[in-house]
Amino acid sequence: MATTILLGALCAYGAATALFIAHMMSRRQSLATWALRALVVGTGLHFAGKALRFSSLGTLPITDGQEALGALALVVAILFIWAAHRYRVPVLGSFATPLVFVTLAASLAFSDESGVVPAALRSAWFPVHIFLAISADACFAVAGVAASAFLVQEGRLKQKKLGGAFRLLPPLHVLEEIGNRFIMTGFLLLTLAMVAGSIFAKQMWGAYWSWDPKQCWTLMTWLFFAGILHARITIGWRGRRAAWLTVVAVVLVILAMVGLNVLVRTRHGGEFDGEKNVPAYLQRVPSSVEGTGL
Amino acid sequence: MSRVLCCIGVNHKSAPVELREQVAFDVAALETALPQLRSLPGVDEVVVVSTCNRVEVYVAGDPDRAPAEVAAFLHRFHDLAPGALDEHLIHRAADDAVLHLFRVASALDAIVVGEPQILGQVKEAFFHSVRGGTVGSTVTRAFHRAFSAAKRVRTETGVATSAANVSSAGVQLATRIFGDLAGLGCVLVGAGDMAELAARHFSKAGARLTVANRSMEKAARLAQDHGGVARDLAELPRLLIEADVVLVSTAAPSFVITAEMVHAVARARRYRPLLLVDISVPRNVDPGAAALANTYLYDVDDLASVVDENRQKRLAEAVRAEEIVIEELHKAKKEIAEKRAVPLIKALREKLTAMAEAEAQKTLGVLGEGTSEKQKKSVQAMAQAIINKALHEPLTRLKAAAAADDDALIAAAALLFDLEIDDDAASAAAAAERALKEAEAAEAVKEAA
Repeated sequence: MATTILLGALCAYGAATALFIAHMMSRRQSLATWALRALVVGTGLHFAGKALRFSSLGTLPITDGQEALGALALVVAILFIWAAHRYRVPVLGSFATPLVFVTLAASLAFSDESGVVPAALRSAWFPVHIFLAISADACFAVAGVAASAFLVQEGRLKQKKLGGAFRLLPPLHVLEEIGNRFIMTGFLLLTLAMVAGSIFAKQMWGAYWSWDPKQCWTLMTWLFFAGILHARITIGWRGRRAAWLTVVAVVLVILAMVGLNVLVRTRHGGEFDGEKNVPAYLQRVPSSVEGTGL
Repeated sequence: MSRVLCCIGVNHKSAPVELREQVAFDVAALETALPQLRSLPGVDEVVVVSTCNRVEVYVAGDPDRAPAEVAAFLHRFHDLAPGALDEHLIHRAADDAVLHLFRVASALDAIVVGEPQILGQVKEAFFHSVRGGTVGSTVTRAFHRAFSAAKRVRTETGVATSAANVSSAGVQLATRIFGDLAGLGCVLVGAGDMAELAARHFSKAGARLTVANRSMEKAARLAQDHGGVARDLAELPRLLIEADVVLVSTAAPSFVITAEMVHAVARARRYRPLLLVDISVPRNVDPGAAALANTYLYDVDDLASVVDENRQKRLAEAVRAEEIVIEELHKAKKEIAEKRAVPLIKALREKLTAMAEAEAQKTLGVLGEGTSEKQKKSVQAMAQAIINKALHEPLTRLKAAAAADDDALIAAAALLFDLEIDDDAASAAAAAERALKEAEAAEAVKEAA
């Protein structure tokens, strides 16, 4: 049932992506509006599918990396829909469409509906921690996209090349405001996620802090974002410089979220109970990667 | 004696704004100046075009005397030291004056080429003189030709659209940076025509207007019209702190805003983006300001390219506009020249027709009572036909000679046939009257719409 709904969501995402591409080509405003509607439908179905999974699992359906990525895409889509509505710039939705389409397609292709939840993840703090962390990451993703778009727009404005893409992207000020708002919100959520994570870690590993690579990396990005916010609030840093810093910070976050699980051995990767209960997605790692000592 | 069109005055190319301000005429001053100008020796007709970019006196009369008389009058009327204007005055006579008028009316001589207001101002100046009765045939013809040249330039080239878009392009650009303009700080430096256009656009978009100008009086007027505040130009550094958009359109010969000024306020502005729009020629904002962070500087060319990004095309449009103006000049010359033969031809025809009629009557008298109505008509028709046949070739030659500026043949014809040619002043006055009525009707229609 949930899979059928998610397939419907995938179709809607596909339609939204196609409509946004058509909008980019023809620059017809009505196409952007329709694309946004398709995105809203897709997101609704996606959410409904996940909710069904939630009720059958009894906990957040984010038990492995694949699902975490899918959940992230879902939150990102919701945030972009909100921004498109709030700033009356439907084209903002186009940033989310490829992301949600690809991640949902991937998570459907590798879906594992075993319904087995690792025993360690049954703590009440797990859903809190994971929900906060994913929301924070989604906020940073939106901020990163806004900052990249800002850099493109700003560069064109300086070079006085105001045709083509320049007309399609939202005003500089809107991009900056979206970036700021989502960094601020993301930072707050990240802080809460870290607190919840520490409590969860205390329960599971017996210590709030255990120098896990993911913990260290996350603390680093937290400090980086704190620096950006500090510079912005006290010195008034903004514009190009602030946008570049945001992009760098978001890259750090992506590394923390995805890269670490692949590159180094971390207890966040799913090895919650030693080697016995390895999550499904790790079992499917191609042999070439296995050889690297994962 | 034929009257020659001359143009004497100052404009943005010949004189600094301080001087132009001193010789400007407002409506009240025009009321007194026009009759005085008209009564100057060598001056038969006069129109004064007075805008913030130019004060030009168009006179028809003796090209040897009128310019000096008008120059002396300008000094006298505006209490200027003798010779104060001398090196700034432009003199144009005959074809040059007509061409200049065409270029002015078509906005090819404007600071912003193609700007839409100048044609209305030239029309207004002309009708002012028509009402005051200070124009005759020469000025009327020249101005009418100028209006149609301007109309052709406007409809047949893209010059006007790109200029109309220069001020709205500023708004468009601001929208791309700031999104909604409501509540945005917009500072207009200068209070001329372009500032007026920009004020209209920005106030419509909901921006907070501040007008900074050398003359507080003008600043206050513009600010009042568009719900803004007026400030002295000296306050500019302080105004920069609160501004988001600064639009500069003065006729100052050097930079009004330097890169240092912008750099100095960056911190106080908390690095908010600043859009500098410089529509002045020569430029009034230091191009170095464009290199500063969060500062976006656009000059007239940049703005025009916002609208249509093909600079080559815009240049071609300007060239085409100049061609149209020259074309119109030749057309006008040809028409005026051909018209010069008209009184002579008319007189010649009238004299010979009367002669033929008299001879026909004489013949009919000899034939006596017995002639039928049909026969009478035949005799009269024959007399007319002989005149027409005989005149055909000479009249064609006369018209051609007039078009070719060959006064000798016209004079010879007048001498051969012993003709007196009266000036066509009366018909020109009637034409001017008609034009005024048309203009008033058009204005009424516009107001009703």
